[in-house]
Amino acid sequence: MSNSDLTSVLQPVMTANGLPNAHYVSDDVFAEERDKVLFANWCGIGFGKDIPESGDAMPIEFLGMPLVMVRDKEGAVKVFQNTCRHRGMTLVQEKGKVGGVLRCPYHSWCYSLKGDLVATPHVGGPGMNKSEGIDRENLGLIEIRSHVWRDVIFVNIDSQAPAFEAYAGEAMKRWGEFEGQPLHHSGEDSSFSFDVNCNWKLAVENYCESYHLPWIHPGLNSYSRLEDHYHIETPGHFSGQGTVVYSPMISEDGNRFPDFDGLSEKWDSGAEYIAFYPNVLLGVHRDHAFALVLLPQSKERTIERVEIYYADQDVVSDNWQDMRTSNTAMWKEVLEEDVFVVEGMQKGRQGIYFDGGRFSPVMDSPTHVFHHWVASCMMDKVQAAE
Amino acid sequence: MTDEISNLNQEILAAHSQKDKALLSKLYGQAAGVWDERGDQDQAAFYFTHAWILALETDDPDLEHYMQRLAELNRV
Repeated sequence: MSNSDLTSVLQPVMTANGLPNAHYVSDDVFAEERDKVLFANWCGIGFGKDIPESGDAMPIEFLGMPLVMVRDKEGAVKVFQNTCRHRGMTLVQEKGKVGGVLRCPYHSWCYSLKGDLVATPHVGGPGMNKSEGIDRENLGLIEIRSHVWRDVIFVNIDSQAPAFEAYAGEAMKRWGEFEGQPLHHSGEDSSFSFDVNCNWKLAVENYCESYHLPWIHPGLNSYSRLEDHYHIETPGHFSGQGTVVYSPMISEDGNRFPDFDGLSEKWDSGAEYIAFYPNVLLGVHRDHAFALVLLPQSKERTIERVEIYYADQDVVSDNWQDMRTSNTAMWKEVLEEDVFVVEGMQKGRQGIYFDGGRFSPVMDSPTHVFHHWVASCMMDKVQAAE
Repeated sequence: MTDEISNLNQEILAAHSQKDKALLSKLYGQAAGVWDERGDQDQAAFYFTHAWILALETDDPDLEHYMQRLAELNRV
């Protein structure tokens, strides 16, 4: 697609159009976005909770790229290309414990949990485990840049993005009061996912704005009206929405989840939801948080993984199971209400006369900020800055 | 092939079917020891190699012994 098709996206929200249809229905543009938007930035691919213990590993195919997330012996998360350096065999086939090394199931070449090639059995003939031409020092697994923030495992596949701390600095600053506080996850009852028939960007766009809330989530109207929400816009980094009337869940016997430590008054009734570009949707409240990772499967199919976290270790105990289950059910219902919308927008983009759409200058600007960022990534930086 | 090795090979096959890697490492180590005692370094190295790889995977405490023996045989 030529850059000229994106110039209207870069206009001010008053006159801008949304991203053209091709960004949702074209295999070519999907492939171009893979390289320029997703592989070139820091994408979420999974969660620290997926590999809680040393020796845990979980393979994931991210946009066709075989990756494996590993918890090493020191407890650090590593991400590798899940491909043996010998014959290119997929190294780890399924989630589970790999033990002390990653052993290729084909010829049993073994890699340490830090990716070093430590054993090449029979490589020089039967019982001879070394050979001229096999330099183990240079045949370690290909490590992918990774970083864990808010329990989300991020990767930068092309390794050209700024350091994660710089990339996420604005978001870390905005939510500085939560920064570094432990997040506790209880397992299955705080975890769910959707398999949605839409392009990944539509899930981001829907999450960014509060405009749709009274129509799609009518249950919110009684306590969290449209006018109780505000836009969050940090161009080039993230956008979303906040509310000033968050009310913690209270059980029938008067319990409520413990709060994160040391929060200011803002968070007594405040909550915020940001789309951290490109594919991670985050929410924070005084007493819990969640992270949603969008895993694009094709131009028109996305898996949404949702994980909910709490401020206090005790909340993951059986004592809180009923409340946790209710909280998960509440979020699942809300997020499920959005599915027909994002799937409907995907179908609507088959309409050849759709022009990307006209934004509400007042209500849609967080979505426009996202579109502007995508368009800027797709165009060369000089043009994008103009 | 002697009965001892033959029996061990049967046990190794059974452990392979069970995917019992810790047991496999031990059995390969035992077979390697038998060949080692008989002075057949090639056979010993073959079996020590398997014991070593599986010990790496299972964090078996005999790992050091297998590595040391392979090093002495100039096989690693």
